[in-house]
Amino acid sequence: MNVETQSQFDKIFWRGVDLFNAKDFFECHDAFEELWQEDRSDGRLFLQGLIQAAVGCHHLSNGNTSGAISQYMKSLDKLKKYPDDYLELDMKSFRKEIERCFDGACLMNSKGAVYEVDNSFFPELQRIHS
Amino acid sequence: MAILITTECINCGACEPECPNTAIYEGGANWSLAGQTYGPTDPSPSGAVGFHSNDYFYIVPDKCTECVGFHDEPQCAAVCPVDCCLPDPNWVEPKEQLEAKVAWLEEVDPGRKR
Repeated sequence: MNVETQSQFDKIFWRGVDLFNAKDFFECHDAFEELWQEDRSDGRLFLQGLIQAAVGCHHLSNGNTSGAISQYMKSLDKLKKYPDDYLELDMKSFRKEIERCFDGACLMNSKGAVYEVDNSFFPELQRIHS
Repeated sequence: MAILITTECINCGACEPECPNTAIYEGGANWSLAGQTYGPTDPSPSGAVGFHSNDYFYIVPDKCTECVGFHDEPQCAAVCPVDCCLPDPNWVEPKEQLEAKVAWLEEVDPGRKR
């Protein structure tokens, strides 16, 4: 789909947010990727940061701790460049939660064991209501 | 150097159609060059081994020219949303070598291109 209008962007963006919060990380990454592929604005890195956060969670839920660690690092590196309140999302809280996921992935990775990660471990993207 | 797809790959498939040399294959798939098909344990003509993956997309080093001869930068890396297409530190090739590889591929497998 060509994302030509703001309403098209919003529709896909909020679908991505809903998918993340439903812990459907693969489909979430797909939705944000659809926007990222065509975005050439200053927000492009933000979208990629969200993609990498979702992919990090996807990898962690599948036991790929090293993949998760790398994705979380890349995500945080991008998301920290944006304001705490961006596109109506509470990014300050989200970044903190991704840091927590990163720490958890590092701990699991250091143990060298395979862990089953419950969905409750993963964060949600919270909408800021003005 | 050839490009390597790391284990961060999410199998979205964005990279595969972008490769001008058809050097990218889906995890588990056999690969081909100059009319020959290679399986997971078969070495490449250059003797490269260990690049095949059953779980993620993978790049055949013998076919990867880092898009030299086609684009200014590796297209797989450009379209990868998770930045998992990276230069392979174990397969370093200077530009002259990549240009020679392009010429070699044109000679042995001109039909490989998209």
